[in-house]
Amino acid sequence: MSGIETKMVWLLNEKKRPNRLIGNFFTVAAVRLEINELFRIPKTKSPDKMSTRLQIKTLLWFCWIVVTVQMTVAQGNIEKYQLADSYLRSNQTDKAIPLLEDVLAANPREYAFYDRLREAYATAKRYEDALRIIDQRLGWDTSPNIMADKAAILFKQGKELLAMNTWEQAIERAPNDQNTYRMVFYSLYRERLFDQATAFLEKARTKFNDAKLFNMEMAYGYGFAGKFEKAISEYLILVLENPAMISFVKAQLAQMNEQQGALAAFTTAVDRAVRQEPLNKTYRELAAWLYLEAGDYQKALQTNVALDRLENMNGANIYNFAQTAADAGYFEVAEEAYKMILSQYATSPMAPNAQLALATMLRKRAETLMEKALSPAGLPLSAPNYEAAKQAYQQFADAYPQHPLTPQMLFELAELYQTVFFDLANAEATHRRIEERFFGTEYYWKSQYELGQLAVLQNNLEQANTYYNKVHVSLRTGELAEKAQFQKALIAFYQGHFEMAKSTTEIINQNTTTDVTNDAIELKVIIRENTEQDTVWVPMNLFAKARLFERQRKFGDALNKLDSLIVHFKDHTLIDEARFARAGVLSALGQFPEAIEAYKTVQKDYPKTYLADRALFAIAEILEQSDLDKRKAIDQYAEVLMKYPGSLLAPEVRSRIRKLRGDKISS
Amino acid sequence: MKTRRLYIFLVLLMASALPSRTQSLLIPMDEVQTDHLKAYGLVYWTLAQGMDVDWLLNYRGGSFMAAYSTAVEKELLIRGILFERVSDGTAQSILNEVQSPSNNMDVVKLEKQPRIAVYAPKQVLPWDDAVLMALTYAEVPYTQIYDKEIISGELQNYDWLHLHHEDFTGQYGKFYAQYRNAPWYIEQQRTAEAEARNLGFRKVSQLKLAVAQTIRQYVMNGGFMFAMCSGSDTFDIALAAHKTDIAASVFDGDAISTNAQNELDFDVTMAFQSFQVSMNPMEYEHSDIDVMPPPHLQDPSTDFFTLFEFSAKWDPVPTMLTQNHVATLRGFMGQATQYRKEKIKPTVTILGESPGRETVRYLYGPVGKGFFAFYGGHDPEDYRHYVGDPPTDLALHKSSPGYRLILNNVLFPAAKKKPHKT
Repeated sequence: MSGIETKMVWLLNEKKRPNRLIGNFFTVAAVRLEINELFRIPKTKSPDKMSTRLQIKTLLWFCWIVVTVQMTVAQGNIEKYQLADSYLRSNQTDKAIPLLEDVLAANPREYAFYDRLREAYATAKRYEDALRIIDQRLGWDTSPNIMADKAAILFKQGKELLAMNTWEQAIERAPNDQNTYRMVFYSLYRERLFDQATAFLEKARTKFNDAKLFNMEMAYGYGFAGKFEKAISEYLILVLENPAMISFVKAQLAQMNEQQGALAAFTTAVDRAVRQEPLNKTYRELAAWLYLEAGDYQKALQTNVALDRLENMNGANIYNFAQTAADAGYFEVAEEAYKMILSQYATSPMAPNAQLALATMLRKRAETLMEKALSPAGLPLSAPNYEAAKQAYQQFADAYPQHPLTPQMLFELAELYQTVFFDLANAEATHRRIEERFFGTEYYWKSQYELGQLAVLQNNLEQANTYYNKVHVSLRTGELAEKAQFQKALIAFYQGHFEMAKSTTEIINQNTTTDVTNDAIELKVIIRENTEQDTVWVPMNLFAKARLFERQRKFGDALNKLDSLIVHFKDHTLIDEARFARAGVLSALGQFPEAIEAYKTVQKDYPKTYLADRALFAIAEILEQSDLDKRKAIDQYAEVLMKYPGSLLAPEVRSRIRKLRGDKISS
Repeated sequence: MKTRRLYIFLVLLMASALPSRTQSLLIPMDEVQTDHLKAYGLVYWTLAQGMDVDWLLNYRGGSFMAAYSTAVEKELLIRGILFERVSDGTAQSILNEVQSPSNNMDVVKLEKQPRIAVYAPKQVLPWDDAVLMALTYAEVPYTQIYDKEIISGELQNYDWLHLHHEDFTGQYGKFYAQYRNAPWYIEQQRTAEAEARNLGFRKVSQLKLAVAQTIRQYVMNGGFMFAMCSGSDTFDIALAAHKTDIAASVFDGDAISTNAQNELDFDVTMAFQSFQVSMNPMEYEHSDIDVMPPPHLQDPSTDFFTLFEFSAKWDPVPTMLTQNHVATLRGFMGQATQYRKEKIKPTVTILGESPGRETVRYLYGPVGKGFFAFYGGHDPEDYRHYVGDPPTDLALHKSSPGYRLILNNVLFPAAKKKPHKT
């Protein structure tokens, strides 16, 4: 083909493409320039050649004129089309339709015009008109998408069976082309016929004998149709082909997880996939995530262990999982995970963290189960989780004496000895280890304070005062310093230095932001109200000693002091406090009937004091904790409200009644 | 003989000097009340125990009075509701004051606990419903029902129906523009479509229309309906659009009817008329019934509305619905915040409006033998409640006047019917 012929073919082809030429004046001008360019052929003097040149030139000029005229007509159509499009965008379908009908009539084979008019008819619900132009086009256009258009219109008309047959016919138009199935799928998908849409793709898979065909479309379709097991199967194929897609798949599954039955279907399918391909890390990761979503921590542990091994994580993956499980209260699973790290990855950097986390978790479990290592009378009780925690701490201390977590671990162990086992010697020894090896650290000062507490328990008040003073003077500000100062006030109180105790509490009261302020106020009020009219302070001394004995768990001694006060100073202002404290000591000794009786007397004899409602509340609390008859506890709590409706304890009382009654609504 | 008479006289004199025996429990609902909202629940509980309660309209904020009972007193204490024990004599003098023709007060006897239904889907949606929260906090029991129950005729089992933040036009709250890819939106649409098909409807909008028509019939037969936020205006829009299609294809798969606006039928609506429907799926608005406060007043410190005062003796229904301890309430916004006055039918009674703004916040009206009430806004204690916001803790708003209006509606069906005076 010569250059001239090539240009001619190009020009004629361009004429058929209105979208590219029409409406563009500059394009028309360019065509004209091209023709002129064609005639820059070498000039010869041959008359034949001159004649040929003239004929070609005439022919080309003729073509140019034809093209120009057609382009002008087409440009008019395009302007109409653009105007119609604007009308459609502004929901003026009635104005758009005549314009589109015109342009389609002028260009019946132009797909863009057909498609927009079909859409406009559908928008105007002129379904018969839409079917008319579709049928016209079907007369010569064999594309399956036209048949799918027809099916969609039939469906909108409510002719569902006919529509389904028509979608089938769309497939039959090009059954060997995979795109036909995809196109029919989206046509059905747009009509939200998800079941039918996926059914067509399943047919395609059978036909092309390719089980992975249209994987993404199938996953979407099944998900929307609520067929979760099938959806997850498709997603599993997707991550098998491309493991990087796991985040995308998780996001997709997360959207469906809350739907009924979704999570169960996902976990079942992933479980099966893991069994089939046990070395597939992506499947394992997906399974671990799904088990956690489903709250199946045991299976999540197994999966994380396998994942840890597959990825050579040396226990790090298991540790992260164990922390999650412990935080969620799945203590057994967390314990298993920590112990697994300690046995299988003993030399890994995760091992010390796991050891400490195990001890902390065991202690948390003991607290949750409300274990007690000692009875009120000081007899040892079974407290397996506290024992296990103690053992775990000690193992840490033996195995990692120089680890950065050691001071924290020692402090927690000492606290356990002190508060749970009341083993003061071991508590002190442990605090001494911190004192010797970790001077100046956060745990050093905390230990110093606790050594003061131990000294009080061991009745070494002067030494206790030294520790508290050291903490207070060294730290000066902060919660620990305030607490140490309050302990100094208490020691002065125990020792009978009431003025000193009072003045110290007054200093603490100036800082109202710390938690000890309320305790300081309470102490100040007791001292002020009970010493002002009493010059000898004997009753107050008895009372202070009783409080000290109570703190030291010397309940018998405390009772003696209080009884002495009650017998010998019947008319003293402290008598109500003393009787209330006595009831508390009886309760701590586990003598509940006597304690209840004592509280009842307080309420009866001092009904107008601030202790009266507290006494009734304490009775209810004893009944709640010691008696299996909830009804009695409820009635007793209700009595607080009946007799003291304005009590500060009223909100707590209401809350406890609601809890005991099993009310679903919080008060 | 004289001595004996003197003795009897002295005994009687001493007896009259003693304080009278406690016979009634008064639950004041003015500013002194510590938990207004739970008081409604307590009244409901008392009715459930088979005891009557007097609702003292306009007396101390619409107080309640019941015969003394240890059980009721204990429950009042447990629920933390302030009450007063009053003697027979005091109770009678309160009743005399309330019933005096010179006072705009009256007594309504509450005698049976209403059976309450809440129209809400089982799916958890990322917003809360003020009525559900009010009922839950006040401890008023209710049954949750939805489309299936309504279509199968279960409404007749209830005295009171509340419509959740619902879109009866089948446009899924018109959240399409912002939330069409959100899991909850996708799930909501899928579930609704499946339910519609299960119940024999091709489109969700058709199902919702049938539901709205059933509810309307329920009200006509004597039921009471209360709706808030979009549950109110979309209810009427759906009824009005019964002959046409106002839902765009993104909602129901086919286009809006070309002449949809002109095909609206305002004869069948309950509260609104002559409104213009918004058919743009990208616009978060259903119609021009709803109007936002002007921008300079979209501020919780300046946006208020006032309650009308009605004659308690002549108009007990609106009086009951507006009982409160304040006359001016803080405004709050919702998908439907306030209604244009010009769009409200003349048969409707306006209960609360924004002064000087030609907008209504709270209204009620009769339909057949029943009543309905519409209340604009989403959450009376959260000025702008966005999708995904945490629920309001009503324990922090125990005396919320806005929530009181909701609970007035709950007790209204418990009232013993009196012959109408007007």
